[in-house]
Amino acid sequence: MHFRFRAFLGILLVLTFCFSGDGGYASGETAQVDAQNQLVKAFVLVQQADLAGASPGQISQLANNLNLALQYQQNSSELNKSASLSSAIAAEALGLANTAREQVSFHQGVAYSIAVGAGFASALIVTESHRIAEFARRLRLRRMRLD
Amino acid sequence: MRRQFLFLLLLFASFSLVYSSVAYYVLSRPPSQQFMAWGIFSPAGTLSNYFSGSEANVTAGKVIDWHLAITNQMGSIQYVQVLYRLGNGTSADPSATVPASSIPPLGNSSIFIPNARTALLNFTWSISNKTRGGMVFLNMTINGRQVSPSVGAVGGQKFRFFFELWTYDVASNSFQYGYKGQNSTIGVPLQVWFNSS
Repeated sequence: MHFRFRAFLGILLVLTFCFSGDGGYASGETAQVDAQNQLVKAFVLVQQADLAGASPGQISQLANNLNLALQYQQNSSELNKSASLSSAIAAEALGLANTAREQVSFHQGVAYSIAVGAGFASALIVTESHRIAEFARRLRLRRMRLD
Repeated sequence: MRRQFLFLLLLFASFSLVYSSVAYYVLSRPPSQQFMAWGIFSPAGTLSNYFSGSEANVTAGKVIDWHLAITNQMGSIQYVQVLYRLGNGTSADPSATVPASSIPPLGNSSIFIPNARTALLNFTWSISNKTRGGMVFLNMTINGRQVSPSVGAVGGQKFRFFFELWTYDVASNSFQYGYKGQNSTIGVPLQVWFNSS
């Protein structure tokens, strides 16, 4: 009876050890996949910021950080570092993309406003050209009289 | 008076249309052909003389240091992966459309490259040892990793490294062979021949 109990405990211990080992391996793999997913997510957001019109300098800085996160990811002991750096990059890229989109919208607004304003001014110049000529003639006459 | 106002309105619309077109042209990105280019550079920084004057014969233990220079002109940052394989004289080559999938890859290197920039990847390799006999199989160290390619070559002659460029495709959420062209993906494989002496 005593021996059976010991054997049972031994088997239980071995099984626990095996399962904990498997769990460790699985969690290691999960961490690797998570770090890769975070990195890809950050890359997608940086690419969106780039396409939205963020400055090359800012994109270059984010690319350097992405490469650093990639380096961390290749070292299993630094997966957490990789994931947190990727998250930080993603947040920064999101902000950059929004700013870039706002700037592009602002520039477009300004450019089209100037175009419409110039259109109005041009139309006014054409329709009122005779008055402008008249005004210029009067100015010239006044100057001649003063001389 | 009304006629004059209508004339003004017509002119205003016409001028606005012309100036808006100019504004659209100025604000639009200039069209450019998107591509990726790359090359394998020797330690001396040349596209030749890969084995430092020893023809293409590589002895066991000799460390060879190459650099892969990759230029991104795709219009946005790219996530690039270089896959390397070892083939022989009869291996199926990677082409502009398909990789050399019949040969298992020995490894890969990845990097993020901003638009209009060139990035360098190191490729340091050596032959650790090789099997003797008719068909020679190599044990190698590539970028610090031990690998044993499954491909051999008769008498150790006509081995070749295949280098394939893969880019990350956001739509499929995976790496795709080559880079995205206008209608299809374009593969740009490279290869370097060598003999194991």
